[in-house]
Amino acid sequence: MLKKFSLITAAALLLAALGTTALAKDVKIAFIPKLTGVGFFESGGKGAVEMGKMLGIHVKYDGPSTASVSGQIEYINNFVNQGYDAIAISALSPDGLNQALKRAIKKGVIILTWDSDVNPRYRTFYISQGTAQQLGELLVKMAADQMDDPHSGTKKIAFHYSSPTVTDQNQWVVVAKKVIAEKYPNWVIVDTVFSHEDAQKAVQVPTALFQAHPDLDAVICPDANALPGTAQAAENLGIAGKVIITGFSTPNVMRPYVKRGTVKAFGLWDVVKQGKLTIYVANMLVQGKKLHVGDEFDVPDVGHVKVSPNSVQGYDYQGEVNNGIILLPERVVFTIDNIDNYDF
Amino acid sequence: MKRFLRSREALVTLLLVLLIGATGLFNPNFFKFDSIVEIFNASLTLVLISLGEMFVILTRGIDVSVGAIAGLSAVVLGTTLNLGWPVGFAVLAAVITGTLAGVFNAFGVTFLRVPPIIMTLGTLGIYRGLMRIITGGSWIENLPQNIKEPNLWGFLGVPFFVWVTLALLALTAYVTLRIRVARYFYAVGDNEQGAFLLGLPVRWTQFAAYTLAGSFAALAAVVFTSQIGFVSMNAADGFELKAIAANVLGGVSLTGGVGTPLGAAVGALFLTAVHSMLIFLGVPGIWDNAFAGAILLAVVYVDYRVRQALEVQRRQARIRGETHHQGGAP
Repeated sequence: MLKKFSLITAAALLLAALGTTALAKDVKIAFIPKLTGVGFFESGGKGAVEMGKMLGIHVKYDGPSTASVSGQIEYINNFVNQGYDAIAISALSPDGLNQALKRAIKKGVIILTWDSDVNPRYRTFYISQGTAQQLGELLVKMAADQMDDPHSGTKKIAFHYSSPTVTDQNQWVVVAKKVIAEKYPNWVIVDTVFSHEDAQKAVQVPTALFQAHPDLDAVICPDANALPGTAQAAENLGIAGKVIITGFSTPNVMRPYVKRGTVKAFGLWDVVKQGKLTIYVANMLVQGKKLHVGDEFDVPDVGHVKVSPNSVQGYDYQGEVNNGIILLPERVVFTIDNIDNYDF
Repeated sequence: MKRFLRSREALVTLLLVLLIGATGLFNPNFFKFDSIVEIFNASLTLVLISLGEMFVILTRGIDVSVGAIAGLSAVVLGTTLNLGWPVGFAVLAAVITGTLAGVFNAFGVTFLRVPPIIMTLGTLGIYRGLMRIITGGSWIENLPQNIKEPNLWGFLGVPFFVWVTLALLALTAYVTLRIRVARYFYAVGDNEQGAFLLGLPVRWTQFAAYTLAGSFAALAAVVFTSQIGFVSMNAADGFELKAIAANVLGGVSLTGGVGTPLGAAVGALFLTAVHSMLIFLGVPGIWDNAFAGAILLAVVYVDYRVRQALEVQRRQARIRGETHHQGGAP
């Protein structure tokens, strides 16, 4: 009888042990982009899935095929219903997802944002590519570095990006304009134009811009369509190399323009690393780790990161624990010398 | 003068010239030959898609998948180019893809009798989905330089593609005006049952219209890829609505049977030119879409009023004529 009992106990213990290992392996994290099919997000997804493999957890990259808030809500709800432990999302709207996120949190799902944030009440951490301040300054710096003497003479500048409703791009440009007003009062911003993520317009709009202002010195394009479109427009008009074209886009799109010298330098962050960092942090939280503002840790393949308060992004709200912003350690300026080291 | 005003394309052309004039007065850079040429150049994609769409609208149908067909053709073009195919073969593959996509629409609408809006809404999703399946969801980048070269060719300072499009436009205009079979599009759209009773091949005429829409969308994709140099997953997204708007603006009636290729082309040119003009005028980019929409409405409204006034005049003239006649008879 006793023997039988101990056998059962042993079996139960064994099962329990198996159960826990199975549980540890069963971590499921969803990584949602603004929309699928865009090189930038696909690469972020690739990084996320790679980190998942490295950690031995299940990471699913999926999202709406067009940039729609309701599409993102559907994905959030689906992942919650499927019992995912954490969801990391690049939000299309700072407030539009609130209800869906609230429901997810109630069900015990850990929410993170990456690339584009939501109200900090509805997420734990925002894995940020850099503050608006850092990225806005970078835009101006990349343009200024290409001028012989950025401080003298009148410089005519234009901005070209997707649309004034895209929160992050708009914030960078607001900062960039402020930096220009403070540091380079000799720069004149002649126009700010939009191409609404439409590739055809992304060429047409800067073409008209170059023709309307033949003496333009630089066009700053912090958008994945706007930057190659502007470079293409300059090549079509035969003014490539004579005007500074810089901004943010992915290295694979920009490679030919950089090799031909149309674009001398442009920036971005390593979105593959952003995906990896996001999943790493998400997994820490799923494992029950408590992170506080000021905490520092190393992430394999990414580097040394630090938990910053929400205030670096200008928020008032700050939770006690597991709430804040984690910035990617560095941003990248791509030139002909380093562009071949990147593939996204 | 009356006859000139009576055609919508003339009115739109006149408005376009007036707008160009006004923009030029405001910003002399706009009057430069190159600026005007670039507006033509930028409108080519939409002109070609609109020409294809015109055939469908003439038969009183609608095709909302033309943007997706252009996107799919561009993906096929880009993918085959990156596989190392010669430009000629890649272009051929793209045109065949677009045509087949059109044939599929045509089959659904004419033989399975699916309503055009439903059929093409469905294929809009299918073709956009295929784009993602072929590319695995990522942009097509690093296209060989040789696809971009035709865009830099030119003759008399006018780009190669502008000549090609003008030639196609002239050909379409000639065919729809002079070739008997091409008049079937008008007959079918004007009165489907009447055309049937006359023994016209109604189904096959509609079949041809959707197929042509696919082929033209594929040609647009070739121009698009050459001009832009990369293919994003939302390439030509929303062009179906722009093409329909261009047709309406250019006087192609959504109720079928009325319209000309020139009208569709001028409508497309107008819709594209507005965006460039606003930049020359220094209108902040935020106003761009609202302006384009307002102009579209204004043109259609003015056109409606002009027509109405002419109709009233015509009726009054007739009444006067008849009174005179009655008075003289006894």
